[in-house]
Amino acid sequence: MTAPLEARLQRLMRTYPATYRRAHGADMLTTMLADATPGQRWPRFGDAANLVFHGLRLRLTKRSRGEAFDAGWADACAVLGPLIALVLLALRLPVVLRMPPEAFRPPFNAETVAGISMLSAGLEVVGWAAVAVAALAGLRRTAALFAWAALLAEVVPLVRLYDVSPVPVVHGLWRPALALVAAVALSAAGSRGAAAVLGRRRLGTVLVTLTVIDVIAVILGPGSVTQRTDEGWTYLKFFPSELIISSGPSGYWIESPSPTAMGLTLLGLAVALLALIVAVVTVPGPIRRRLLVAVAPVITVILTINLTLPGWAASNDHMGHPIALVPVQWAALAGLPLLTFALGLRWVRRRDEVLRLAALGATVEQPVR
Amino acid sequence: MPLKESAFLILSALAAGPTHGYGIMKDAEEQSAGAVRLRPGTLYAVLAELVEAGLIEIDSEEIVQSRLRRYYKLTAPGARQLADEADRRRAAANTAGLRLRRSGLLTNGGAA
Repeated sequence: MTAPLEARLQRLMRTYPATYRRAHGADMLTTMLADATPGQRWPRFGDAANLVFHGLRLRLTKRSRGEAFDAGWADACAVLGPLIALVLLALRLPVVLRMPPEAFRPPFNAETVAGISMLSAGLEVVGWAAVAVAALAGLRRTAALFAWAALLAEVVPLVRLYDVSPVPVVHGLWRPALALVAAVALSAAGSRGAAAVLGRRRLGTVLVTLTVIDVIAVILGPGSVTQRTDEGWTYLKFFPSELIISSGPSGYWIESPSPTAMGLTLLGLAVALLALIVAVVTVPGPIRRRLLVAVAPVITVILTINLTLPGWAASNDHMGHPIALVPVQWAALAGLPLLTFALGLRWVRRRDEVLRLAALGATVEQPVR
Repeated sequence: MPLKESAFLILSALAAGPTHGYGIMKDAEEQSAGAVRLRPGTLYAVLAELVEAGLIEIDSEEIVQSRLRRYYKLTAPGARQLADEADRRRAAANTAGLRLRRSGLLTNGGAA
């Protein structure tokens, strides 16, 4: 049972920011209890006032807010930035490589849906390639700057297309969400680069698997985006409302002329993705947990769209005119990912603390044995 | 830049070897002959500043009777800063003592 003095000290320490309490609270409490006289039930008035003063002072300074960003987050951000840039590049590259050459000759028609899509796809490829190269070369600030520009290239076309075709735009929101994570991560990354954190072998695996995925996508996707016909083709939809795979005219990025070719595509993709997942999940636990928490909001965006908006998408298909999302739907799309991130942060902190104390306990017990 | 009294006492306490918060608190009280009592809020605020300045660092942590106890130690820059500060204070004290004796205000001498 917690003694009255300890409980009262803990209550006083609530004036400190939670991040500070997590880092120093247990040690402070040990010191204050060691300083107490036998039978003492109340904190000394001067000590109590001193605690409240310093706690409130810390709450009003920026330093306490920065404590949540530890070395683990710095390393995770160093990995996330180039990794997301490479993934976004790998997803967009096949689309651009399959475009007809005339699509790249100016003037670009930015007034039509196809024109906007082509222009944005081209800009995104250039942007994310620049981000990946800069990040892997250790130019963190430059990479961050490129990432914010690439994010803009992701968002602007979606804003322009939303009034005309809201369903594909909303289904594609995971891309700017992922791009935002990359831009924030690169802006906050630590001094260690992705190669130092991941190791050269893991980074090599990531690069090779993404290249394999793209080669498969380009070779087995002979049709062009603009000249595509729906009949006689099997489509792999990326994030349609029905989830992963189906036949249909929207939301795909890989297409294949026969079921056999599609089977081979899927097999190659599965092997490459497995290697990619193994490379990422075998990173040290603290970094792995932070990577998961950082991408969790993007997964939440995808799940929210696929689980809560099929009715809205169906209405758009059947009504013959675009139906925009209502404010509460936008609120869910923005709020649920933020909530997921906040819960993830909490989970990471608690997990780190439990593991740290467990390791300390093991260290203390060792000499006794 | 001169060290605050509390920072000087903490660095001086750690010059004897790594110790924990309560050890620093008691040592500072002894060094100042009871004149300075570091309250917990002040102690940990100054410890955080000294860690941030690279003058001290966390040495180790242990669990004693189910409670976490963290040990701090002086770093090389911290030791240099403490030595400089001690010289500065010694020089200031000598000057003060000398002036007091010369002026005749302190008839029975003094520490300096």
